[in-house]
Amino acid sequence: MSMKRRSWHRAACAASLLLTATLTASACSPTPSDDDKDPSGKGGGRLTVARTGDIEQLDPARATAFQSVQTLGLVYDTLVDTDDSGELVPGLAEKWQVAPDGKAVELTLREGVKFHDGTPFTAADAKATLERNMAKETGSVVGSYLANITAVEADGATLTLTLKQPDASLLTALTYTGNAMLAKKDIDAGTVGKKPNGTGPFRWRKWKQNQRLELAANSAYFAGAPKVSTVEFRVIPDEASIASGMQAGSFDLGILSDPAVAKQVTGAKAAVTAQPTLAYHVLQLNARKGPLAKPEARQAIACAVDRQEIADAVYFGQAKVTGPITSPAYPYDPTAALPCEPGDTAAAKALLKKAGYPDGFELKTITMTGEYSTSTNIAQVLQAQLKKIGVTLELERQQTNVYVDNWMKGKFDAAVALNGGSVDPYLIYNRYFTKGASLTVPAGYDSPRLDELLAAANLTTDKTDRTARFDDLQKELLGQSPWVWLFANQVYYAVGTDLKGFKALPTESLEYLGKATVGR
Amino acid sequence: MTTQAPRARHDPLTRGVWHDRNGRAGTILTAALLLACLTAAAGLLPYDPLAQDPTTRLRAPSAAHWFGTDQFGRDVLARTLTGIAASLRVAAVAVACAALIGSFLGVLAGYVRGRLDAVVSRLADILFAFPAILLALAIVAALGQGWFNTAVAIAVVYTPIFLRVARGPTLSVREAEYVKAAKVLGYGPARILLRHVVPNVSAPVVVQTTLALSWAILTESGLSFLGLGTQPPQPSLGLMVSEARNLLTEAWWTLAFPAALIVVAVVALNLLGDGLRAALDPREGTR
Repeated sequence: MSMKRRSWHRAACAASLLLTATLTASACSPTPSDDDKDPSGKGGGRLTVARTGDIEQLDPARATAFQSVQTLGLVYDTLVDTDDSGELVPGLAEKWQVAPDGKAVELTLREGVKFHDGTPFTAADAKATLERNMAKETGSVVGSYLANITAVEADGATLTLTLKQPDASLLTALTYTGNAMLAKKDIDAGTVGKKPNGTGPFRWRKWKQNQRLELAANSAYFAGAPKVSTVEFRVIPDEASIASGMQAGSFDLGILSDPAVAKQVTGAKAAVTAQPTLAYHVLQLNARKGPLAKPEARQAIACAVDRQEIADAVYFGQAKVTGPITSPAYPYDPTAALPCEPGDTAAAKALLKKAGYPDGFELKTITMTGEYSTSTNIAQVLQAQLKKIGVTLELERQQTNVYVDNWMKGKFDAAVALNGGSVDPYLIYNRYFTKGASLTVPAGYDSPRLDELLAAANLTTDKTDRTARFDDLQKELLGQSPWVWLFANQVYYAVGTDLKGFKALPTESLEYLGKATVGR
Repeated sequence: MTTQAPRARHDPLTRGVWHDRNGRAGTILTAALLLACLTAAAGLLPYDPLAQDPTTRLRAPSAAHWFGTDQFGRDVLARTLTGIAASLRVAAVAVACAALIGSFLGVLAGYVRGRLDAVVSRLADILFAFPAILLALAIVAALGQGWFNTAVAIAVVYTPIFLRVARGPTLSVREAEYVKAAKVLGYGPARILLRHVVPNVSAPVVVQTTLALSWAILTESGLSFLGLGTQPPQPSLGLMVSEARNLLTEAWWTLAFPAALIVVAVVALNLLGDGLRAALDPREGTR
């Protein structure tokens, strides 16, 4: 699960809303005072971002909540970066060269880059960072992506990574904020995670937990100083309050996940951009027990589900139906390899009969309350669709922590889930379907064929070859239907009219804040 | 009151309520609600409250759908009526349990006094110390979701109220001369309780029952709103309000009708309670 947000405040807000019998959605609307607008008085101005959760971690290697990743991504830089379409572009490394046998990568680092405290960035810093992330005791969330590295060597501006075997997803792994470059002296002094010190476009200024976080522009940023002087993140737990705050012009940018709330942002002061992300909504089936062990039973469900109808009902037609692979650089037909047309109930019934369950069966289905608020709505439409073929979804709504626990232990017949994606398909599925990987239990399905396909795809660095192999992977996944892939997640960015030059990205990165202006 | 035998009911209770203006309004409204519930429970509604129809999503109120349709194309009227039936079922079970257990313990504690009274009353005090909705939330969270657990949670919250309502009059009645006379005549405690104490206690308990019903509906709505009461796709008024909150600017009818029904149900039962009090309270005049 890629999403972790605090839901208690929202619940408290909702409770007060009901108890006071207030039927408007603006009960918790914040009213910032005018002195918040631009205390510096300097040009550039202050950019205010409202979001529902706070950061949970100052160490980029350990940050999982996407608020933390988003924020630290503005303070730290990575060696390699992705452009708007998900292709790799230079970051702190100006260029890189993969050895012909694929067993070494040589990166040439940018010179003249400085950390916020003035220390110059060198290959020694890069070596120390990667070694720190590879060490088990660091507890890096992306450490396993570096597992193929056997040695890191720093020589002047050159960083050489020696690999056990060719690893096509390694460069993508280096784009993750978890692998952002830290200063060697901070690592040695043990101050990483206490006071962020990166090379990124913004410097750390102050953080008041669960309230606000302030970043100041790094005027010496190598790719050009940000145009705003300050970025402030506000924690507003209730999305409806963010929506009303946007309409009142209190914020420049509001980040929303609920499509119904996003629809409420209207008027002259803000406009909403819906951005499909790499994360995807999916009905995970537990193929390790009961009727779902039969491939025909899973295929029947995959056929009976009309994905577009769910997107219409829950995301007002805005969500994009997707297959297993959401990476923009690897586009595939989302349903081509399914055993039948989606929504074809007659074909689905025939498959059920073949599986030996002509009258259907019952599935204990877990959904999440609170932060993943659309999961119950998705589940309700799925329930109505599957009822047509006699499959009964028995919904169990669970709080985030309960849900995640049950999900991790595979305690479900079916689960409505929002799983994180990646610009590299291998990084999306290796943790679920590679033998011995970290999420094989919640995956609920394994096969030597999937394991083989994933391993093969990661060995080749040739784009055409990889595309063909991931095509095979996608076909295998859709054909066996261990899960029913629905559609890409949407994040809604409510953009104030004063904010110019901001662009939402599928990776949910806020890097365009470094290029945006607020004109008032 | 302490010097006379239990008040004989000269006029039937129903007539007393009907003569009271509030009681009349409450009776009519409650009867209308019950009728709507029966229609829903008997399956006589033109639409299935769970049936989704992708072609009629978020339609405004019209001749075909009087209360409009929701995000999934379900008929809001059918869902609202089924929802009020679900809320009333929870409220009725909860209040019945609370009233029976609470008044039984209250009468017993008030009549027996002594250590039993001390223990029972302190336990009630402890329960009273928690805010009602918080206590109900905690109990449902511990028991798990579902309508029966919600009813149990509400019953636990309301039992101490009935206990106090029953205990007070019992305390004064047990000192009454006709009770003392009955004791002197050698009647057993069971006969004294049933013939002399319970009739005196029943009036406030009946009034409290209607008031508690309205509060139980509110509590059930609150729990469902927070996701702990009735579970989707089953409708309940609180859940409908919760689901519709985000659609407010888009489809006001998905929120307005269930919210209005909560208000109507609470007002109806409160008015009925007022009427009952007027009819049952001997101090309310000679009507």
